[in-house]
Amino acid sequence: MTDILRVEHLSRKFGEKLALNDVSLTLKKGKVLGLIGENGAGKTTLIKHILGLLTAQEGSVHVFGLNPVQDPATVLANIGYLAEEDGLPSWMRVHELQRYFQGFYANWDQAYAEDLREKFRIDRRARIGQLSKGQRARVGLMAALAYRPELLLLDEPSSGLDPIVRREILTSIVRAVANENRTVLFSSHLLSEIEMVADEVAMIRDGEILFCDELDAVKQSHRRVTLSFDETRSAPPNVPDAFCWEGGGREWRCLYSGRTTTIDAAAALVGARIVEQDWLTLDEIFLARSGGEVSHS
Amino acid sequence: MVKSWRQCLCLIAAICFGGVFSHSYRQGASLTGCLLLIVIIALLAALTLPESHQQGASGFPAYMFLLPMSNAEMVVWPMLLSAVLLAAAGWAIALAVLTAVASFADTWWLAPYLAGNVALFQTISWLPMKRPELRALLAFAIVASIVSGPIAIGVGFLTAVPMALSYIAVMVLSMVACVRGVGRARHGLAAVGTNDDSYQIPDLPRFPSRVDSQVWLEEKRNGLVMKILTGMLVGLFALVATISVPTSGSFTPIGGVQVSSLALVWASLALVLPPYFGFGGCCASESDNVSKDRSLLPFMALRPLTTLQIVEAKVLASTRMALRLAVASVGAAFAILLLPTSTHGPYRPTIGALAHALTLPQALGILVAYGVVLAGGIKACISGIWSSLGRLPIWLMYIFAMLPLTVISATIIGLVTHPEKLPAFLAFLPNVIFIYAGLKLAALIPATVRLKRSGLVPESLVTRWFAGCAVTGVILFVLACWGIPSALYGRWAIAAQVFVFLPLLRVVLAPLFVARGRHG
Repeated sequence: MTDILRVEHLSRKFGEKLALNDVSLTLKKGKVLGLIGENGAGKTTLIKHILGLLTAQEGSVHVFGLNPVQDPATVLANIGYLAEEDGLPSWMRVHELQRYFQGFYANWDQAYAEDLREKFRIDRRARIGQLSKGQRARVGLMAALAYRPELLLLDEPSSGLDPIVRREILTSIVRAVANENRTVLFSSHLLSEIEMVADEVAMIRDGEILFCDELDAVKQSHRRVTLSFDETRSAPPNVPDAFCWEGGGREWRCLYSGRTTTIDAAAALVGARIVEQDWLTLDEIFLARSGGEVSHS
Repeated sequence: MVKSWRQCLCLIAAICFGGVFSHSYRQGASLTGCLLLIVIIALLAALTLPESHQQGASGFPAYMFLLPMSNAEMVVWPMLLSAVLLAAAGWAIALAVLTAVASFADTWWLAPYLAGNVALFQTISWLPMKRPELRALLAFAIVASIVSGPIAIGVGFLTAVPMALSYIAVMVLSMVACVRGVGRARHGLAAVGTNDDSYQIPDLPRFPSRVDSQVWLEEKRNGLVMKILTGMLVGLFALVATISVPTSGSFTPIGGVQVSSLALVWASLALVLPPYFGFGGCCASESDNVSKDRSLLPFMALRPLTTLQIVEAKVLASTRMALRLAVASVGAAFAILLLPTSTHGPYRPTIGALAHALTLPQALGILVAYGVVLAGGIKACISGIWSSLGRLPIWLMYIFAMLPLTVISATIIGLVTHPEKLPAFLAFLPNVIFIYAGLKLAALIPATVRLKRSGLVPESLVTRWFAGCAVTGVILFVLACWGIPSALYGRWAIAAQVFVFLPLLRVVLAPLFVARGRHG
């Protein structure tokens, strides 16, 4: 399968702040990658590098095998982009935006654009500045989709959309795009959406990729484990790949992100028995990896 | 049908305009004539403004509506604060300028004058308008008030005390109006008219290329601002020249004929505007092209164009805008040359001295053309102000519109009341241009160093651009030497060349700035 996107050892500093630290990522054609991370984790900075809006200080970014800074015309002709802040000119009317975009993209499908516009219930005559935030997001989505780009980049697109559009339109569109063997990179806080549409998921924190794998593999590699000890302990044991320890006395709970055989062996090594294991949802994995608390079901 | 009706109105108004214009000179009542013309032009503009610019919503910052305070507290305190601060700052600057140009001890009236005009700006910006045409009329009234106030004092039409009192009254009335109007906007009681329901989507063809799409965006984006600036300045030049040329006794012998020097100077300045604003608009300075939050660069940067293609679109749009703006400027310059060389005696236009004679039909034709062109320029100015009001912060309006007008007006008073200072002023003006040009050029040095470090643009390209600058400069200098009469040749020629040269520098350097802004 062809690599649509290849990011290798990408680092970026803004002044003294390290926004991206040795980030490496690949995305195959036809896949939907969900990018998750807290605010300020580096998601948008990474996406800006992919778009060529930032130049790599260290490492490299290749989209369709090309450097987006060196060859923006070719790369951007095949990328559809929608961000939380739409950045669309408020003075422009919807039909003017369609005409403006039409000039750039040879593949622009006006019938499809009109189909989407009608589905989103947007007036062609309306000025973008007079539309609500959700309506502007729909216009942005229409503009990003109507030329059937090879790579669709959605940077927190759902923030302005109501639940109906989010669930019924956005997710179905993302799946449809993937089914046409096109590729999607989708960053979102709404992890339920990522779970619905993503084939792969990557988590970024403080500019570093914590994990990037198939969604099922990520979910299967994270679990909540309860360990029972014969004697009372004042501190949690040292178990590789275990984190978020809580509890006390003879019973301690942790989150574990390694293989089953390893936790079994590690538990035996510290003199504990595994009394309970639960799989985590993506939400819980995100919270745990972000340093937040995970509720016990 | 509506469009034709408006065009007819425009023509009728233009003919009236020409008639009043010439009549006011024959009567020697130039100031009254000018004020009457302002009203006619404002009405004309209000009648012919395009629907798309009709925005009547209040420009008061909406986040303040949620503050726990009464309408009066919410409105009056910001108005008082801005009036006091901006009036003090404006007065200080005006004093400094006046001291440099001529000696003026009695300038205290500038403080209430400035405070009153700030309050007027706030009023038209903050009041919701059911009929947005009113906003255009009020906007023009303010510009007229700023320009004509100091002139009225300068020519002895008004004394300082009644003028100051009237501006204080204006300030108080503005506050009362703003408290009521903003209060209505705050509670959703203001009816704001929009004409979107009647908007018909035009049947336009697809753009033939990516660059054409981009040119369209650039023209839509920058065209309005350029129209505002050019309209304001062309209108201002025409207005100032209307008063100053007939009262000036300065003549230059050209080809054995005495020509009004002041008319030549004002006409030249009007002609400089199209290239200056046309080119300066699209290929703007670094802050406009790089500042990601204020400009459209992020939106444009995402289009599949090379950086050079973005600049190509900017240059194409700039050229088209410059050509369009030239219509207004050439008209204004031509009109200035039509002004009488003196208010005394028979009507003798400057251009008459150049052409030796003008027939009556020719003169009438020129007057009508002048009316149409000038009305077009000022209409563009008003339509620009109209659509900008309610969005521009007050301080920005003050800096870009009011302060320069104040300084220019104050300078004009100095020249009107002390005409003997005119030669010294004209000799001094090129220095201001040189300092301005020097500052602009100096600012390019750190920008270029940063760009070179970023490695986005090859060094050979930077060298070629700078070589292009130098060649353009030499060509302009040669043209200036060839085109400007020998009587005015010298410092003025070089200053004019530098002034025209600056926006072309922007064009040449635009790829550097766009590349830097686009790729971080």
